[in-house]
Amino acid sequence: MTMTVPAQRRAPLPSPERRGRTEIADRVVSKIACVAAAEVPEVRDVQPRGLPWTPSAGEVHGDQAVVRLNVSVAYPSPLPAVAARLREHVIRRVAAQTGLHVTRLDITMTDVGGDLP
Amino acid sequence: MTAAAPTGPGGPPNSGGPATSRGPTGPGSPTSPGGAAVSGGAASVGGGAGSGAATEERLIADRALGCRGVARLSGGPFGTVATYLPGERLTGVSADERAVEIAIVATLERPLPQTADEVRGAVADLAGDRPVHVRIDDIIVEGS
Repeated sequence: MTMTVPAQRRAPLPSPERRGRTEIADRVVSKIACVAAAEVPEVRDVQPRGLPWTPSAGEVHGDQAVVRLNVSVAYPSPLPAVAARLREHVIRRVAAQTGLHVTRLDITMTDVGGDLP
Repeated sequence: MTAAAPTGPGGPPNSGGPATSRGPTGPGSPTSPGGAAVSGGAASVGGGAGSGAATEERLIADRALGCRGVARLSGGPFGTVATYLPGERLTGVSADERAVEIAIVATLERPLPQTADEVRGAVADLAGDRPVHVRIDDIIVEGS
């Protein structure tokens, strides 16, 4: 059964606030991820871990981001639990601040030491 | 689209008068000769009308700087977002007849997409129908 519908209007131009792209640089994501990781209590120190020629922890591809971090963790703390909390916190922070979706977050625990806070 | 004030390209040079009719909080009004009063709507960039375009880019820069969450303008990747004006270089804004590009250094007081949208809204009447691409080139993190 066929139905006739009136001719559709063309989509209007988006509102001025939406007309155009918002680009976010890699180092912005890198900085936000490092700050967010340092907010986890067991984390003593964070370094961005980029490729040798770009020491930046983040790479933005469209609306997605890849983040790599080296963290040093207080001893003794349950590493898997800390990693899970770190992962959740960093992903949530980056999404809230930049609107980007972190599709991949590599965490390397490079050191343990220091006291629990 | 409202017609801009009919300032023909290549009007009488040194006709005096401040170039900005409603100067934003910018540092001093630019002293470019042949002031083209940019009224709402896209300023038609006539051939070789350097002063009209220069005024427009400077206005865009001032409006962007006035938005909450914008710390300063930035040159963008490799300093590519810039406009050459007579005797100086305006970093952070480049506009042609197809699009307007703005590169900023933002603060983290609110989510970056909101800041970008506010910048777009602030320069919307200057951009007219052109898309405004906002690039967040860097951020300022408190305590670092």
